[in-house]
Amino acid sequence: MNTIHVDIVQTPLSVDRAITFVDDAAFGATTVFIGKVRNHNAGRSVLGVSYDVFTPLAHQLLKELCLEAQEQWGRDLKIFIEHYCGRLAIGGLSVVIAVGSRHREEAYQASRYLIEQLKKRVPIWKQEHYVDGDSEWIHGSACCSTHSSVSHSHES
Amino acid sequence: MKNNITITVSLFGVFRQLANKNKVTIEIAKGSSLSMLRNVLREMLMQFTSEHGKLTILDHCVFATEKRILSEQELIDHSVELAVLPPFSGG
Repeated sequence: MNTIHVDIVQTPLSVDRAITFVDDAAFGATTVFIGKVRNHNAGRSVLGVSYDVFTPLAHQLLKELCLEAQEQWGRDLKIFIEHYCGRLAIGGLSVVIAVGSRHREEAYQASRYLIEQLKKRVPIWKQEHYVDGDSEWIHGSACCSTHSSVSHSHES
Repeated sequence: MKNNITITVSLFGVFRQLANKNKVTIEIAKGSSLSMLRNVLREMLMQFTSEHGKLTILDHCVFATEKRILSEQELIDHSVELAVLPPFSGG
């Protein structure tokens, strides 16, 4: 049985598809985290966000995160992660993470772990487009322990 | 030169925009460090943009293959395709 689904997509993300994937008659809990584009960041009015992704490595690392979560909170966890690549307007969904588990505690904890690790470890970049016509690439998390953060992220 | 190798570096995010290219090709000496590759890449990117201040982000970047992020201590001993990765900001 396939318990992990990860993908980088250029079509609108579907919460329904995520919930369906992690559904299981033996599970009593499903958590869904949705990251979406908001209309402001660091005092600037935002029109939209473009996402760039190093897709092969992102796939690899997303799978690793899911395996780590299953190792920690149960090998029977079902996990769905999709991240968008391309431009989104305000309210657009950038990432959907769904976790299905027997009890709520594992689902909550695994979900929080997955989004935090995704932000730190998966090669995805966002460019904010502002109302004043300017655009800026956001550099949020360090790529590795020897490299420090240089700017604030458009946090989900 | 006989002891040189060719590194194709894929660009993402701010670097793709600054260079207006998806990839650049760099020739460096066999056995070069990633620090040396970073310096050569910096010089090359300076030719493509006047926004040299933005290239300081290279100091916070890592190099990777399609399978893994390279350790800063690794040496490059053969021609290879790499990607230079600015600090991540997904989610």
